[in-house]
Amino acid sequence: MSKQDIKDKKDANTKKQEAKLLKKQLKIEAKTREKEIAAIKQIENRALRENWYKLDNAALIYPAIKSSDWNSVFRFSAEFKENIIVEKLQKAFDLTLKRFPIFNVCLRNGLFWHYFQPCVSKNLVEEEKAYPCRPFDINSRKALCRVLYYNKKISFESFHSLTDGYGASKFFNTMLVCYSELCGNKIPINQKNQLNLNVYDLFKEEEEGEDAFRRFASRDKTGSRKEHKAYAVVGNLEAPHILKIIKGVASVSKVKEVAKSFNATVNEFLSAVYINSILMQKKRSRVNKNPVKLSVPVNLRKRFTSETVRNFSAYYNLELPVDMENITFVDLINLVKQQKSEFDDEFLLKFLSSNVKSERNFFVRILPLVLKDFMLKIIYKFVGENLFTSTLTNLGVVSLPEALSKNLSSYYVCLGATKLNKFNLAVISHDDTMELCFSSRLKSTQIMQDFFSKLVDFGIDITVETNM
Amino acid sequence: MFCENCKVKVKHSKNCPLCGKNISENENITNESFPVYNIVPDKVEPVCSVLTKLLIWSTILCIIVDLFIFHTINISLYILCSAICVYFVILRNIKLRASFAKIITSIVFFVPLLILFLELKTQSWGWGICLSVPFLWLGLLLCSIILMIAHGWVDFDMFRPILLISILSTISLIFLMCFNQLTWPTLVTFLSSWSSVCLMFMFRFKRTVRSLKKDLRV
Repeated sequence: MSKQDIKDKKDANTKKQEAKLLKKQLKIEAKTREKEIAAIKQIENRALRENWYKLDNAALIYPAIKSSDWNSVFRFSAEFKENIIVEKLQKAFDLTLKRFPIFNVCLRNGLFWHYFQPCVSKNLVEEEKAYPCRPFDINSRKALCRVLYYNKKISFESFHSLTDGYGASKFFNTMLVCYSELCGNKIPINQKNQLNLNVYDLFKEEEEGEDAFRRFASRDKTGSRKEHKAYAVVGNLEAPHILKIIKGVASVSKVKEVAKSFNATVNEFLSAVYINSILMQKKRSRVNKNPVKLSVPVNLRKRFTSETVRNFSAYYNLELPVDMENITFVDLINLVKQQKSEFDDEFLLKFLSSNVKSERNFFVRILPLVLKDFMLKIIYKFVGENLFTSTLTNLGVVSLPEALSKNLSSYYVCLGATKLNKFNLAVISHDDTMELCFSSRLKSTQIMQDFFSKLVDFGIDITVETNM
Repeated sequence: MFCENCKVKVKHSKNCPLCGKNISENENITNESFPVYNIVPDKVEPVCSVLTKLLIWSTILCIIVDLFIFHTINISLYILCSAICVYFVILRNIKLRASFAKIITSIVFFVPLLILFLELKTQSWGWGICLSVPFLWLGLLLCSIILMIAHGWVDFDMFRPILLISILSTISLIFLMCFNQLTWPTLVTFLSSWSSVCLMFMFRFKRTVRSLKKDLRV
């Protein structure tokens, strides 16, 4: 073997060793990088877990009254004119969750109270496969809101402890604006700022995340909660996971015109029509014991100034006494108007003050969570659900930028339904379209038929659609 | 499409959603707004509820048979207590898909209650409260600590069962000392549980306090 060969062999060996060393070094570097990333993630997760939020006063009841097949969930849906782009929707959802971090939380149990903890896992948008208002697994550490898509439709579902209709609409509208912009639809910044729908705004913890009930509750003003039991519609129910949706679309101007002819607001008119259709069902079933009562939620932000996106609503119950069941429709509207006028600011202040007073009660505070939940469940069973036959919520006119509303073909809200309050009605308007969405667990559709037939009798054109 | 019966326009459906009347002969109408639902229902919930009902009815049946045939409730008391324990330790935790912390907390509380009942009922004083219960608590304490360390000291849910064991072992120790019983197993549990609580306060003070605050919602 010549000297040259030996030298070549040595060179080759050293090159091999160098390559091996380099490989080793690269491997070590990759491992350290992975470790660093894992450490950063762990620190971030820890920081997230260390933040926690108290439940607001209205939110306390919902974890307690949940059952195995139901918890209080409502849905906002919007249909675009084009198919949904999933990647852009996911990005819009992520950005909106950053804008409203209070929505990216899971429910945890403390020794005395439930609390919200920020979610560590990523919230993915899902394709809609199940019935609307599917219950959340609130014992898991998953977020209490979800975004679903189907063809041209985007839906946002939220657990009621998290927010009410106003808060959810703010989140949903911000996400829609963001999604629309990501899809290349330019929305003027002044319009976004005017409607407060800019996804890049910062979350104002003190204003948008406050428990406004506590701020406005007064120690001196408390009211009695004594009320009559309400008539409960009897009928065959669908399976627990099935929620029937029947959506009717009408013209806002036409409904307003008809309501004006009765010298009533849209809300009063719709309440009267709804009570009338429940009354027809009651007469058919020949149960005459309890009065028909309609629960109407009120957005307290309009009465007491607050920017909170958490729960800040109350409700009042409209009642048609048993001895007045042969009333004419005009008299029914007058009755609704008269009852509604009784629910003034003073009443609402008493309502929210008595709720906060119960929460602040020393004996309630020291009661362990298990007992507290048990007691709340019993109280709700006997003096909560029993007090109204159904719910009618009217979220009014939704304010969206013009460039976005042009691309929407439908925008509606639907509520969940329980075993006792088997059907509910949610109303929302956009442009000149009013969408009246019934959600029901009843097999029969007689009440909905009576409701829409009454509107048709007043000359209002209705287009109906269902998920069944 | 238009339903003559209800006088409403119908979208995406060959039947009227209100009266169910067929209004179109076109079989290919598809609903663009809602999917065709094909749901596999959750099996855990119904199985748990069936088992719970079975447990309740079999207990009631046992009590009735015991009362009316044997004129005593001796045996049914055992069954009743075991059924309560089975429900709170097994069925309820499966139904709620409970975390390890919750499962341990329920065992810490309910199993010693059952042991105490058996001990008192069989009048075989000594084996339960002096030996079985403290060793059970000690085992659960070790489990909690191992699980907490395995989670990288991140999840402080385990703080709750540890604190509960400390409080219960203290009560148990005072009780045993008052009645002059065998105390060393309870003393071991008492010392190890309180020392782990102290260590947690010493080395993870902020997180332990935060966990307590969360639980107390301060």
